[in-house]
Amino acid sequence: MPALDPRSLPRHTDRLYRAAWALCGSREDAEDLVQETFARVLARPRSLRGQDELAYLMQVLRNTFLTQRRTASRRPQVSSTLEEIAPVDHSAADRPEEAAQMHEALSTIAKLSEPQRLALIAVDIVGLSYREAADALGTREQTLAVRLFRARERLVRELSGEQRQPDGGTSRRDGESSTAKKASYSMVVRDET
Amino acid sequence: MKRDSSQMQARLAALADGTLAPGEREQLLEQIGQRPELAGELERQRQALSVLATLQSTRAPDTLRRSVESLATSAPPTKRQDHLRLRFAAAGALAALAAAALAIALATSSQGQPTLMQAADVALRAATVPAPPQSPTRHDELARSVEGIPYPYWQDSLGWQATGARTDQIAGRTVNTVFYAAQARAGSDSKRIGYAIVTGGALALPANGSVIHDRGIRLQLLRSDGATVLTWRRAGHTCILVGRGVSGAQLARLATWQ
Repeated sequence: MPALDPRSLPRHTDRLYRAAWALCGSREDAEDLVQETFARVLARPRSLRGQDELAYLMQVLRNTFLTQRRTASRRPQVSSTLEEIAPVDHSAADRPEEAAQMHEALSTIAKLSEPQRLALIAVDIVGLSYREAADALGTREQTLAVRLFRARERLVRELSGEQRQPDGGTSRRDGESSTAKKASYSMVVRDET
Repeated sequence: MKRDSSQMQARLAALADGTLAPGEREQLLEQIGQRPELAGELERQRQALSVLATLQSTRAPDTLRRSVESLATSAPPTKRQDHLRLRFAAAGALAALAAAALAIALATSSQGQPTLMQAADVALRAATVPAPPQSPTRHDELARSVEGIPYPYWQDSLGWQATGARTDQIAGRTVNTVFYAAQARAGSDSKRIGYAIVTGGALALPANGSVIHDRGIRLQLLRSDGATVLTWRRAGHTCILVGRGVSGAQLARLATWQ
């Protein structure tokens, strides 16, 4: 049974960070979640049991997120203003439009239902195959694919301000988001084949 | 009907991201040509993928990256790594000696006060004396204080029990630390943190990290060598909470507990 090599794990930090941000909806919580995930994984030697190491990390990330959320719900709530965390490192300060688009997209993903969000994160952000993602999330491949479809659909509708109508059609809210505009432009150049 | 719809959605998702098998792909494209509503759904799948592609440039902060690298370096070795470690033990010992000599040289040349990270480092070490008991007069405090700043009693309210203490002298200052541990829940490891209070004036703050304002307190969050470090000033003294596998949010809740 192959062992997880601790030295190879830091190369997944960026992917896991993106996944955690989309999961939590906040980069500060994402940072904490990724650190906690790696701390758990690296606390003792681990065996992969046939899993890809990225799929294994995704599974631990998800479990850690769920545990943290359960713990937080049991803890007395304080009037914390952790959302006010102001990072000293402004790496995206020179690309404000891009940074705003990323924030918008990640915030929208964080509002998806949990099953849809996890499916989207596992496949489209972490880059797992449908099979790997289904295994990591403990569901069937077909179910995962349906959740993924609905998550993408909802993401685009939310970003473009569209709302489903009772007759099954859609309407657009005023003020199309910049991320959705960018998406529709890039659609034009996609090759069908 | 509903099952057909779910199957179609799964196939459209796979078509959009290029994972649909070639045979199915041709068949589905033919169906899409005859049904405009499917073309619309496919288009939205692709729009979503375009949006998600923009996220790929998001990188983890350097502090997190360093923290993960540090955790990986200090992780328990696999068997193969153990073998390699033995082979390079002699070289490692020499390097450690050189690093220790450098650390001593740096410490003795400091400007008369420890750095924040030096103080945080001792708060990660083992306790040397038992923990102080709960204060007999103030139930939210321990029976120990440093220059008028009491250590909190968190056991009943927050579940963190004082487990030990230690005192260190660094660059002419005394760093007093009380250690706390949170009881392990099923399926999780128990956690341990150190609460250090440095005697004398406040220590200089590093330029890195994140700043949190909570209840009028300015908290600075840092990562160092796999540990989460939270520092703030109280009555002109530097207070530090530090632990491994503990989030900044957890430490901030403790620091601002009243």
